[in-house]
Amino acid sequence: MPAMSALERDPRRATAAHVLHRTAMTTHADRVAELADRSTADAIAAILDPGVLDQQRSQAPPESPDDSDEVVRWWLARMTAPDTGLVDRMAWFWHGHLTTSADKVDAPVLVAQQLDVLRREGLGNLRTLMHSVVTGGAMLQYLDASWSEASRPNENLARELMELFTIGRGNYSEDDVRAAARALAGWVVEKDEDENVSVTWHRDRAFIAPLVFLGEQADWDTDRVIARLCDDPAAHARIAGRLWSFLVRRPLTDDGAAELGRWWNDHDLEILPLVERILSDPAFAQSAGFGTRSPVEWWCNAVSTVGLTETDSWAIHQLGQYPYAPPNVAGWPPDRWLTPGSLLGRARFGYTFEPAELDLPSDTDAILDRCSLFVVDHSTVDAIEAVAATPDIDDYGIIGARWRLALCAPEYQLS
Amino acid sequence: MTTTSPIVSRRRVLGGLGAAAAALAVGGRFRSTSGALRLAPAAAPLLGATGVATDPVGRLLPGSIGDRVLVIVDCRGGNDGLSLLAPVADGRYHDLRPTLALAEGDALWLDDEVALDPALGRLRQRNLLFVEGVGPIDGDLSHFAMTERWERGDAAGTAGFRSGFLGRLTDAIDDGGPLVGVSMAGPSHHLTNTRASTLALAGTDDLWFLQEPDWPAAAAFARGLSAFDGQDDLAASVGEGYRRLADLAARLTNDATEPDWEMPMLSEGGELGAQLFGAATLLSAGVGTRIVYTSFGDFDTHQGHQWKQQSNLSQLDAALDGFLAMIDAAGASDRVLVATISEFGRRVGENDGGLDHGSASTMLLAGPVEDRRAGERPDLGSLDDDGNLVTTVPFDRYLATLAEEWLGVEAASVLPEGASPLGVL
Repeated sequence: MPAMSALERDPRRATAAHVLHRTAMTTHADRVAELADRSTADAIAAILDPGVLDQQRSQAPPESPDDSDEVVRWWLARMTAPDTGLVDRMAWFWHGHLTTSADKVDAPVLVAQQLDVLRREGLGNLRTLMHSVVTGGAMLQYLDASWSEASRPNENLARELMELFTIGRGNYSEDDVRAAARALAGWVVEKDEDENVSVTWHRDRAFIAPLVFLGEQADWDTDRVIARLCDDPAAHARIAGRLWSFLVRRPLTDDGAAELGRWWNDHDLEILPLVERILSDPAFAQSAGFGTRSPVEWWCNAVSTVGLTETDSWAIHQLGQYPYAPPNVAGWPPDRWLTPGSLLGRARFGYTFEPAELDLPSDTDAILDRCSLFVVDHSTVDAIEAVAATPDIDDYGIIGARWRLALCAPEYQLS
Repeated sequence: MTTTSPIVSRRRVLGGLGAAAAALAVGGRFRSTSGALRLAPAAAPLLGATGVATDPVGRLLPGSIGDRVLVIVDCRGGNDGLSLLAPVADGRYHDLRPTLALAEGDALWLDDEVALDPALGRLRQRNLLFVEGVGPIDGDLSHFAMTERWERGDAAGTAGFRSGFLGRLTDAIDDGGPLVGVSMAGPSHHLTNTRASTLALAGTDDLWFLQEPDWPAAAAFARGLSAFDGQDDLAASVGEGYRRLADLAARLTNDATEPDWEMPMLSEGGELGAQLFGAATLLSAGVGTRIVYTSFGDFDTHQGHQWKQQSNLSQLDAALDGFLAMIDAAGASDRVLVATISEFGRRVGENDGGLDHGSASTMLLAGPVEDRRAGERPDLGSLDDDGNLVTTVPFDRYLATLAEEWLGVEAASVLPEGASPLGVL
């Protein structure tokens, strides 16, 4: 195998692939080639280009889906489309942070509406995004705030809004949970006889009196509670720190997160500048291979790498992660995906299609290019190359085994 | 077929590499660059465990309980306790279930109060321990919420666990074995843990492509997977994971009996039969498996309760009896306990041929148990506001029994305060 002795196959394309891995759900080989001719700063600028983002946002989830899976399938199609980019990457981030399980949402249209918010507002302002998601029908139902009444309020949304979505444990008391639960009461999500869904706020179910929340007595209501939490430095540090971890794949120190949170607050909690700030940090450029691809990320890449046009939802479920089906309200635990069971699912997925029937190359070098693997271990190259030496193997078998191996290669599991 | 050559070094000295490769190699040891924010140390390698750091760590009680195995059968959708163990002698049962009550003529009487459905004919021949009145504390009627409580082992839903109860058990009994816990029903939050090695399979035939040396392309694939290595911990853990799977597949090839599709367990046992067959082959493979999770059924019988429940119970009968027969044949009948769970029971009163979501239900234990009833049968004369059976045994006490009496794991170390064992094993 000539010219394959070095691990570093193509540094320019490696850098472009790194930027794409972190800023798009799918790393398309064509897109890598396109960005490889630019400097890293130019590549990042291209990804953040407002016109490009507007183009991605111009697509919207189905308006009247028959079931929530139709919404999820639409999203997966967007995530794997050739023009997929930061909009869906950030929607995926926010879906992990402000998560919702479709199981608990009565109407699929509410899931579509939430996804639309995550895509439209995911690079906008934190306050708008938080308010839209928390007062959306999907979240109200998911966290039992629909039909919550001030006289006997449900605490679920109030607690998670503070514990998971904004300020985090240690920054509020149980009295604050009870006060927030009262302030958030009054919302009703319901369907009429024609199955039309409405999200309404009812004054007679709400708490209309002063409350003490986070040490301040005032006429707290839903808007005011959300605004207060969004203005808390603890929320800035937590959310900015989490976004840092998502993009750089290493956590910040507490001091680092607080510093980044202050920077974000100075920029009015606009999300796009925060993304730009993180991507421009020297730490980002040096973080290639620090993260693992979650099952959904891996699936998106595998599907687009080999050019699959049809896969069923079950095949994705089997990998252990599915949009709008998080394990719990905390979303998916980060970077815990390289368990043998998870790897087995990836290996098995390779048998849900026949590589030899997909017009794919069988040459090791071409396979690695197509997979955007530009820095690889000798063992990976050798393992893929060695397939041809298998006794009694035919061309059909070579292309099948090589592609299955490429998708299972250690480097293909990393981001 | 299995490549067992050791990985010489996880962090080889790299020479002549570009920036990206170097970054791949340095892992968490990060130089602080002017203007850059400081990074926390890299996380530890993650092979095996699924990961929750904030939950309590289980403690083993003094004294060895050997290598006992706990097999959970999750009756998905909400299993009606009154169909599993029918209070046929109680007139109120027939009043409340005018079309769905078990007829006295069909009943397999256990004593002068309760009887089994004839669909459970095989299991009737075995020792069965029923625990009645098992349910949540202040539960609600949501599958999602109640399933989550069972997963976490939190009957009241207030403990704040993020890991799974079964996951905490695997951590508590972890002896570094290759496969301490396994889900035969695909990925499951029941097994979410921090330490012990666990695996989610959809069946042992998932591993078939690692066991097919006769087919050149599959052999090439399997050999290639085992040859993967990597320059840093993450990449290396991928190769190691595939070698573990290959090792597991090889052990199964060596030890497992060939499935006989004529056996009732597989021909009548449905998905549960296939899962339990896989579990039996794993248990015979010597990979240190102690906790097995299986699940089956559509017990959510809002409509057509009669035939759906018959079908569920028939599968349970064939699958579980076949599994126990395999365990008996392996000479392990004194160390494998099977226990059912289900997110809730069903409404006592009928709707139009079906039963809506309920609360307390009846759990079944099979294996080395006494043939008896335990717990406390909820009173059909005093239902809760929703018309459901009132919980007499908070389900974390049922789980405490499995943890402490069967596996020797101190209940208080893995369950909420006050979840004391029932003293029935």
